Amino acid sequence: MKEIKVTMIGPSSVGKTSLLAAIYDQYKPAINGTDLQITPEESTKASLKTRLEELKNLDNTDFLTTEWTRRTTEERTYTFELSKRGGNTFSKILFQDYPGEWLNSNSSSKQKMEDFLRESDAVIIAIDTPALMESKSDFDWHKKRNSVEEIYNVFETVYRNIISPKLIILAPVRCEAYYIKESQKYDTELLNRIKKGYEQLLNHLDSQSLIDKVAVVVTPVQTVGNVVFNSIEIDERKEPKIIFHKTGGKYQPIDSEQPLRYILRFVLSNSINSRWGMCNWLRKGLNLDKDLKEAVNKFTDSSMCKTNGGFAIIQGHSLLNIE
Amino acid sequence: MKIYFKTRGDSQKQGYSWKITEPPLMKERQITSLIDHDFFSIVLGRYNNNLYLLITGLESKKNKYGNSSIENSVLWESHNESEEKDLIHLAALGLQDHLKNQLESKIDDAIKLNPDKEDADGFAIDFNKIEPKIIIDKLSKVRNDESTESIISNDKPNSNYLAPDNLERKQKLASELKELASEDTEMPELLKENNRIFVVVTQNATESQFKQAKVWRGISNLIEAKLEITHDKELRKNVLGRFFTGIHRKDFRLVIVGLALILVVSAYPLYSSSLINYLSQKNKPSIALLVALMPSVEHVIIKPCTTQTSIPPSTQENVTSCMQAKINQPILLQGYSQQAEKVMYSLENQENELSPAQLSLETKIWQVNLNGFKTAGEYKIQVQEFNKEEQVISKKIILINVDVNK
Repeated sequence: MKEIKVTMIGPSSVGKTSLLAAIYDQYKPAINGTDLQITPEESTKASLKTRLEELKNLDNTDFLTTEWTRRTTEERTYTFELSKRGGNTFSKILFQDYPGEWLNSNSSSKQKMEDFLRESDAVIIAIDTPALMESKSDFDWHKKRNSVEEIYNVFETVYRNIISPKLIILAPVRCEAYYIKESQKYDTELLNRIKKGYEQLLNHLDSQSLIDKVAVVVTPVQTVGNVVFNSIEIDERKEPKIIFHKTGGKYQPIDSEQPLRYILRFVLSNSINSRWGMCNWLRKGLNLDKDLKEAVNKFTDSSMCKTNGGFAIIQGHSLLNIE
Repeated sequence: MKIYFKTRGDSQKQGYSWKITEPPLMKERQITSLIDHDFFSIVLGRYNNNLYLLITGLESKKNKYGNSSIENSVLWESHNESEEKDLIHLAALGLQDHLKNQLESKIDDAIKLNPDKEDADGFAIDFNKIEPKIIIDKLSKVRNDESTESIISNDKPNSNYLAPDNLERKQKLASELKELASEDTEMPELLKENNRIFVVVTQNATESQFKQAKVWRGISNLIEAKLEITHDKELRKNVLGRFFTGIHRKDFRLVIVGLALILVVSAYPLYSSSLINYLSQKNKPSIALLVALMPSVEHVIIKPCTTQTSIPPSTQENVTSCMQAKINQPILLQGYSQQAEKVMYSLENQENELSPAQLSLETKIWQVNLNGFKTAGEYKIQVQEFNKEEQVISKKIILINVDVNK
């Protein structure tokens, strides 16, 4: 059985595991009405449930803080099984979660992360949105907080002579303060700043050898819904300290299923178009079962994958085409 | 003794890192993927010929960042028998819930935050403070209100077991490990096996993960609680455990007696049934030993009996567990229920005569002692679990097939 591998990267305590917990919390309503079944493996379910409970336990509390969830101390795999409702598992999605520090480390830990990234079909880069949005024109806070240089270095090292297509999801998280409820859209500046703040990386991915093989999308995710950016203080080490307001509201993530929709859309698109011979395993499976293909299609078609109001496909439209 | 320590500094920039360096063990995915490192877990195993003890998720009391807790992890490694025993002893202490706070605090004592402004990690460790002997000495002085001595393991040392995470199971394992750590006990061959994981206590490991890793003793929330049956309370005495696990040098006579008894039982199988019946009426440890050594009456886990052909189809769907017993064989039924506040049981066709089962609200384990059945046949015990509101939350029917020949 082919596995769909997804690497989660981003700075420490940005909320990569919270993003996974939000995906776990929200995928069920998202697949409702489709014939697609997504089932977390037992240990994945238990582990994400524990984290979800921690986040939900903060409901009805109101405080200012810098961090409110425990940091990931060691790598961990979260596995979801894909099947047609009531049918056999035809594939698994493996989300590989890493401590943010591994981006900066020169040890074998970083090597492990790069090895997994090399094999991954997709990567989710979690972005600390306030650091990006509140930075001055030099993007200094953003560069430091979001480990921009380190992330660029990782891709420069890993994305060489790649054969199969890749999907990169830029996921601004902790973005509650930049969401305009009335229009249900994000501040237009968010997308501009992502393009500016990751200019070097995006230029690299846009290069001749990668443009046809790498799709890049932006999917903002409100991983908790009840914690908003408050202010930035400069601490005694002259480092920016981002203060959040944990409001009294309830845990209510928004758009957390979008990365999952894009991942499946990418996989489906590549199976339909059989690019570079990849995804034969899935194409074979889907051809054998048109209902299953229809189920994945329904979950991932263009009306389901958001493309405006802060969401965007930056490059690789053809790699995400399922028409 | 090599010691490794993982924690983080108190600024946002400073993430988790190992001091002095990352241990080679952490590159072994089979070991690291078994546990959730962010939460309290214990792993005892042997790697590269060293016995190691890894304890993770020890909450720091003095270090915190924002509203986020900080968890410390420690790894001890040794290839010296006396130090290895210390590690086994420390694992036993780490298993005891009432010592967890003290253990966390002792580990915390070793951390010095911001020792040097140039230090990028933001912490230093005084490794002398976390030498196993020092921690054992301190933890052993902690008054133990919940005696673990009364819960003694009767699990077969040479078989693996997996169990749900509950106080009784952890105390049993602690007892077993303490015994192995004793100066008078030889290190069992099993714990000398290289590249093997012996003990794992963690939140979210599954039965298949444990089995794949060939874990000797695995405790996790994800292990399904099964009904257990043991022969008699006397079996809880530690005699059997001592007999198999590293034989006590002082108890050599016991070994001789045990072997002699095995010979007696093997040589006279025809008499075994009546011999047990006779002996079990007495209530002496030596008798318990004999009974325990007989394969036909040892500790049994009863499972859902979906393939029992002897059960009439009309009742099959109601029967949750089944087992075999001999005439007059005393029986202890045990079960685990997370929600039950009261457990009652009755014999078949006597639903109006419900008797209360013993239930520990702390361990959530209930038990029913039965004297045994005088005649052969099929007996059904109905067990009902009640919640706080006195509503029945589950009904179990345990089918006991009593046969003089089985």
